[in-house]
Amino acid sequence: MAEPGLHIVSGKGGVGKTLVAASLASAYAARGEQTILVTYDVSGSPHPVFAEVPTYEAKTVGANLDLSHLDPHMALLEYVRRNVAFSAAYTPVLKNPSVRRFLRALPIFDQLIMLGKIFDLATHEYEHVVVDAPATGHCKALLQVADVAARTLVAGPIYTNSVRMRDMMADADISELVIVTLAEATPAREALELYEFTRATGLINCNAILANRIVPQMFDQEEVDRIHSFAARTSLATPLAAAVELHFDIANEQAAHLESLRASAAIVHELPELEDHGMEEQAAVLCELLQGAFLDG
Amino acid sequence: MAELNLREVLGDHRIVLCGGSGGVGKTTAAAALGILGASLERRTLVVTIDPARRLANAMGLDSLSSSPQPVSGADGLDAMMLDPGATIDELVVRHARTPEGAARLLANPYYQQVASTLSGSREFMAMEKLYELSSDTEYDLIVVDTPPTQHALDFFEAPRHLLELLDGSGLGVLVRSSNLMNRLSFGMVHRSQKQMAALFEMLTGHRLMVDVTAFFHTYADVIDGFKRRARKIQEVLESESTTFLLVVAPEEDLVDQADGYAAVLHDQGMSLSGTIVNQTLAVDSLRSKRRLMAEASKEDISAELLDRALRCHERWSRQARRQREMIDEWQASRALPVVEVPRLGRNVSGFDDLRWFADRLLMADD
Repeated sequence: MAEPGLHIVSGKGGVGKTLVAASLASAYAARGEQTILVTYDVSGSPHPVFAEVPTYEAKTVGANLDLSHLDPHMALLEYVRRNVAFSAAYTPVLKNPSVRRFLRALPIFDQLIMLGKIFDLATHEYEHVVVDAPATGHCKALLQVADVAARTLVAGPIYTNSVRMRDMMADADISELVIVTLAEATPAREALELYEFTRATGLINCNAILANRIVPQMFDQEEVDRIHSFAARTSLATPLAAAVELHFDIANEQAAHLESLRASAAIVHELPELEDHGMEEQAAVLCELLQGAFLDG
Repeated sequence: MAELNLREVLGDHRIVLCGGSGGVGKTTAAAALGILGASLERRTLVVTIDPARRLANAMGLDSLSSSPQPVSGADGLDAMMLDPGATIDELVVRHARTPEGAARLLANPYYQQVASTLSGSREFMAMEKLYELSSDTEYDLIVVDTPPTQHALDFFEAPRHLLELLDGSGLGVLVRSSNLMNRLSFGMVHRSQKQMAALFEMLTGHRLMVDVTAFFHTYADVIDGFKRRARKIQEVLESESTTFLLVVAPEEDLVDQADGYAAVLHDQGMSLSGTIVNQTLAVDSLRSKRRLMAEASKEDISAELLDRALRCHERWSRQARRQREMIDEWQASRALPVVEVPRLGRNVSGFDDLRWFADRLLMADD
């Protein structure tokens, strides 16, 4: 099976999706393959790993690595400019505020245009497109949009494009979904739902779930008990026992969630807890790990 | 450092909403606030959305009732659960001026395709319930657990987008006519609108234009009801006797989230009384490692095990310190009062855990 070139990275807010998406993009770039990281973030702040503010115009942030921000308005202007005859006449119309509101009010339109831009990048310009996609629920809508459009529209270039995009998304040689989660109740549940959604609908292939911030178990129950007895006799050791129990509980909880994720037949890769390091360092570490575990696996 | 005085917040307001994204312990916090409210001698109702079964059991809600039931273990506290299965279709049926209008809208192909991709109905229904309850004089205090969403702000933005879609006021000038194509051919429509319609049609095909036009004609039956209800809801949310509490987990994006939330509430003319930071790490420091090592060697704790335990303690201390710094820095730069609730060490289950949570919430002002 050929390796896909489009990687949509999704996951609940707070699981480290942005970091993982950036690391994944770096991993492909490190292999010498022309890669672009595309973000949906509208804040206008610099990217936490690359320290550049993402703009619609792609910026180079590393060897073989570009960064860009998906702006639906700019994407629509570009689409019209490239595909519509006498497009200059339409540009003022598209900049009209009430027209823009109209387009925003049509939920599939916005996302369709952005999806079109993503596929455009993947088919014409870059070997790898890594999308730092919206969080789980919003991501589902993005995954469905080409399919919905193909069923709603019956003619016109957007219809034709929608059908093509739907097919490319469903083709495992072209596209994949990467789900980032934590080994905790709510994120794991949502990750599993999203994974099962892709299996049930066939809209996109999900190769793996990346479980982030995994803490390795350091103790067995017997050792925890011994340290507790120690603390019972020596009050000095109480904070020690508390920390050991905390670690033991957290690592066990995580192990249980990882097991239930794997039980669904999803391939689960574990990424370690790296809070000690700054964002750039974390991305470098994850980039190495992903090259080893995920890219070749 | 501003501590959050929840006794005051619960005493001074009639409606307290717990906002925040899913998975941070909002429902637990809402239940604990309900217990607190009742303990302040206020007749209190907790409205929860989609709680885990454990929590439902702890509050005596295993029958998933959508009408208030007394909570055993807390005098003066009732609880109810909002129906989690709300769909847009139900909202349409409820608000349409006529049943025929609702039926027409539900049958519209464009509506059918997009309705499944829309979010906001659950949030809108939560707001509606809130509006109903606000005029219920039986309760002195209503604590509302908002629906679990991807982002804390979805509670506000999703219903607005829903309204915007159904309102289509951006589309108004294009479509407020009985027959769009006729209008175009008579040249009665402004030039740019003509261009827009032509462009849209070229991009998407004639059929969609027809469906969309029909859609916006039929929505008229529904949108007025929605808008009226939305206005009334807005009044309740902006009222001085209503306030919000944000519930967050101690993660790196805590500050951004809280700032964003505060900004939106401020813009909307709503009040944010404070933030509950849930599941913080509390790691006490070790007074003397040397003495500890000496004691350990007398016990059956091997040097290797002790070393591991010390490293573990060091690791969690660092994380707790980072959390501490983040929260302190944030509080120092904002006027927003905060209360922290530490990790319980296991999941909340049973009424005692809820009481524990409630006690921790009050410790701020002791």
